[in-house]
Amino acid sequence: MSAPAAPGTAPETTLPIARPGQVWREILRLAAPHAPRILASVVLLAAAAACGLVLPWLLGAFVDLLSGDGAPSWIEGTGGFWRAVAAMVGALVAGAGLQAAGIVLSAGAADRVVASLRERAVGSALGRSQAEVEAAGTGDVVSRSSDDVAAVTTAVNQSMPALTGAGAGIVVTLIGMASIHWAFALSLVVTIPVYWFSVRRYLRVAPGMYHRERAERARRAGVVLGAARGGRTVRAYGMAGFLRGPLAATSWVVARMNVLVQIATTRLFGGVNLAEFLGVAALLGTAFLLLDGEAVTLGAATSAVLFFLRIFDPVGAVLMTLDQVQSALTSLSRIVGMAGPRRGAGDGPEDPEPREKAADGAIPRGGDLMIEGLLAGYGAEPVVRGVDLAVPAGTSVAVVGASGAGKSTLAAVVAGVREPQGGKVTIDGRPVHGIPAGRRARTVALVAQEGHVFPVSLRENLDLASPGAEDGTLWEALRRVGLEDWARALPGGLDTVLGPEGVDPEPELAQQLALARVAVLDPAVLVLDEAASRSAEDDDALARAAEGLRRGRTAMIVAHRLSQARTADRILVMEDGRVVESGGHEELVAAGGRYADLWAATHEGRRED
Amino acid sequence: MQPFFTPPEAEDVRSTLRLDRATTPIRLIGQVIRSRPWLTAGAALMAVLHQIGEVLVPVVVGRAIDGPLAERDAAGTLLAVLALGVVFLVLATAYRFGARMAHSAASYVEHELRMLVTDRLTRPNGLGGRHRAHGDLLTVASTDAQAVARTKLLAFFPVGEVAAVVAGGVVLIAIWWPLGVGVLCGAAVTALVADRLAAPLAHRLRASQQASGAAASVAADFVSGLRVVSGLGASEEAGRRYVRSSRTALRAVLRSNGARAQLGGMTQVTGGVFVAATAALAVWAALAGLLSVGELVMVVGISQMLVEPMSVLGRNIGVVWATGLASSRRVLEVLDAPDAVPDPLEPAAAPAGERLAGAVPLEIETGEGGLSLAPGELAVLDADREGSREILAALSGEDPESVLRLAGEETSSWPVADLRRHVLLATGEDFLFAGTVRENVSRGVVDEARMIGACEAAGCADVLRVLPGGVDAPVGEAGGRLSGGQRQRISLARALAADPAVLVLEDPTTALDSVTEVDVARSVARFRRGRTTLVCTSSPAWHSVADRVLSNDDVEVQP
Repeated sequence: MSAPAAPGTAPETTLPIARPGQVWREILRLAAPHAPRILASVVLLAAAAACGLVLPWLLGAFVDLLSGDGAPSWIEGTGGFWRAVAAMVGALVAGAGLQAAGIVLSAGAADRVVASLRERAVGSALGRSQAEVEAAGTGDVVSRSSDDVAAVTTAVNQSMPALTGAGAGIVVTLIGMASIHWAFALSLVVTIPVYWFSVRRYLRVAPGMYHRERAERARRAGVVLGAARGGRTVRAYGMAGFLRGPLAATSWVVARMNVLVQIATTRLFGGVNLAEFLGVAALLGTAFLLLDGEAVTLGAATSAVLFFLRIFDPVGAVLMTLDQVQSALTSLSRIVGMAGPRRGAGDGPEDPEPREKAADGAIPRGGDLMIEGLLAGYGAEPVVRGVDLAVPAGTSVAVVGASGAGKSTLAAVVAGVREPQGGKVTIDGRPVHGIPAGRRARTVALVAQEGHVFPVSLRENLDLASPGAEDGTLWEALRRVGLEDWARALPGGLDTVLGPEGVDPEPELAQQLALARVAVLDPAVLVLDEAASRSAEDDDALARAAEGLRRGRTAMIVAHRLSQARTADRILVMEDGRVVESGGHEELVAAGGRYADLWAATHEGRRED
Repeated sequence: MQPFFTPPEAEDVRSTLRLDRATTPIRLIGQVIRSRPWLTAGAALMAVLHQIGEVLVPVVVGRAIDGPLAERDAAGTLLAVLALGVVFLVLATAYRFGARMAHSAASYVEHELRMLVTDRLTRPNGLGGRHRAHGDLLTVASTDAQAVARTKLLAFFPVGEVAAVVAGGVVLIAIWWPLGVGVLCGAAVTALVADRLAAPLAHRLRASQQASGAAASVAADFVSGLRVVSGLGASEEAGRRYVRSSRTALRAVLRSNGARAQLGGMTQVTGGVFVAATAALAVWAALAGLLSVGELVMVVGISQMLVEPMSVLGRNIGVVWATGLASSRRVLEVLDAPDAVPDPLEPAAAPAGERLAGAVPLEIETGEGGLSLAPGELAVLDADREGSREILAALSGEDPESVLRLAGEETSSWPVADLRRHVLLATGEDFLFAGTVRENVSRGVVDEARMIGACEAAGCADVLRVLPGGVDAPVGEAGGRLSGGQRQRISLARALAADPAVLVLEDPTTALDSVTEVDVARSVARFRRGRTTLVCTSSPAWHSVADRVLSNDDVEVQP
């Protein structure tokens, strides 16, 4: 089957998929704290299964009573009949209660394990560098942390009680059968090869199918998410027809895979039915031989056959969970794979010190930025090729240059978000890439191109990087970026929910909010990447906000407008990954080099000039 | 050979659902169940056959105990085993094909539902009503579509279960009629009780679904805001916030587990009491000489066999129905969402191609003023935010108060799709879709020459030089593999390639450096020569190439 051609073609770099061993280790590690709960549930479910044997056993006894083969005396007569009925009802009610308790316990344990797993997984997804997530596809990451988590939760919810309950049921029933006559239990050996063969055939094809089904589902999620995120563009260009192809293709592949998986499952059940037939046939044959040899009574043979009929459902249930366990393992290997060891930027040792301590004093408030021999890029070819720069505390440097000159990459590396390929970046003598991610932003923070508004309260949007910041600090930050009036007018003040469900700020406002978020954080060094790019020179609110934030701290500004660069203490002109000119505005204009060209080009078209 | 009921590789585009405004969530489920009637009916028939086979197993075993086993008859025992083989063959075959039919019918209708949702998302009129997070829309298109489609299985499993009860009742009536009647009444009571118990479960289940949905969309949101999160070193805090919503989801799931187990326990008790009562009655009858030993085995075997179908009957219907209904409501909420820009009540198609082919004049009248563009003119609108917003709202048809005339024709009577085709609003923040540069620029409709021409005019030549594979280089999800400036030029190329009668560019070059911007503005002006173009920007680069520069004063009514 050919994969549908693109949009939404598989990314080149995918997130890893964990090996089965890793998955089991992870499950055991996460399940360990819930061991008492799990043990208790196994005991309860086994007891429930034992209760289920009371009825067929009593019926066998009555058959013996009827055929005069010597039944237990306590069921004889009218009193015995009612005693037996009471025993049946009591066992059934007790069995139901025990089973329900066992299910609550086992499902509760499983759900807690799943919760800690997904929390770890999403935590590590967030800890991954942006480059990694984008290379793998946001759809894949989102689908692993939602679809796969849901698949595991459902599977675990349904299969845990069946697996433990039915497993206990089967074992208890076999013991019951053997206690009637060992030959009954032994005759069931004929079913084993059939079970084994059909399960093996199933396991040969099913895991691959589930893996594919999940992968296709992830791709589908990516395509659907793209259609939602690019909604405005889709509508402006009437791209519905264009997107329908990939949407339909990925959706159809998933639908098709669903059915193929079902076909494999029905084949498994065919095998199960065959085994059931062989089992009943073997029991009837054994019963005939034992009865013929006077080794058992008709009542005992009846009990044995009824016992076996009882385990049809539990065996089916266990095999049904095989299916779900298989599917859950597939999802788990994707979740554990994502949660696996972190790589890339921001991967430091866990922050041993509490934040407060780090804030006062652990990092001296200076901001001397030093860049030495910096090499950085995405592949073999570096995009930044040997940049050296010293920015004294409290001064600002602007980086200008054509698109693709390496400005944004330089900014990301300086801010510690991306790892350098060579050279180093230090602030007050301390390497930026050695600071744990959680604490780094107090030293150097990056304000990226897009202002992302999280669909939570204004407060939570602002204190994302400095949780628990005082209201005063938040208002001060809003004031600095010129959002105080806007925020005062909000219906719920700091607790107003932003985003599509609440107050949805304009893109400019979203960028100002991004600046406010940084103002709350109050880093020693600020890296602004295209933060003021959407607004033109005269569009002042954002420019003023950026200016307000920049004041009094070391700043590196990736500037697209020369007017932004002009106010910086120093200007770097980048070309092809290298700094080709450096100096103050007047100095560079007078030098008549690249910067002077740029300056002239920008101003040739200005009406006012 | 492929197994029976293997789905075709090519999409099955048959549409089986007929939805309109009167479609309620319940009716949608009704349509889902009725869709592809042959496949559905086949599945139901197979389910019935399967369950009849299941009922016959204890019948054959009872006969064997009564006859050949009691009489120690070897040939009779062998005959009973053969009969059992036939019964098993029928029940296994029926299940195999029935399950395939049911699941393929459900998968096909799920695909159809998903396409309805995504078609709604991509409609030119836009999704009005309350705003929805992207993650929510994804949930509706995936999880909810699936839950609605699963109600299709209600035509398979419960049908078989009812058949089992009926077949069991018939066999029991044949053995001893009071017993048969008792079993049928008992079955009905058990199903009713199970159904009554499903209601609170359905409620709690909905709550837990919502909570885990919320946790999923928080995850989606933090992951898509990763640039911000990592720039601020806030991934740990973001993780903590995810944990908080994950715990909320966990609490809801634990609550619904409790409800589920309670329901399970209660149905098991009702079912158990039913079996015990049947068994007691049968034993009493046997002791009174009304039943043989084999018949006792049959009765107990059948009633035991009926417990499972009866107890899951309520559960299947209850859970699948409740989940499906909640999802059906959400799917319809999206499908029925009002248009952000509704089509006119009596739409008249835009005039045919040639009238809008060359240079066309454009007039805009807003409440506060307006502007008009001469045919083929390139005008720059350098107004403040309010001023340009008015004009852009008029151009997009979002402002019902304003009047838009293209080549002298009022566009208010055109379907929105026609308006979009002839008046293209492109912004510097447009979205690039995962796929290649070629796919994004041509959208599958523009020919090679125009695509290349548009790329060159938008200043993409050097972008294509550095990208591995040139126009066939993948741009990554949301254009994530490109820099902001590269993205902007490719989306500008897409706008130029679309070649609309009127092209409106809103801040098209904000991410470009000044030199590139001047070049791009010049080449765009050349490319659009003879076609009407409006650029909303305050950038000097565009001012220099404009035929006319309009300011606030030019688009507003003077007081």
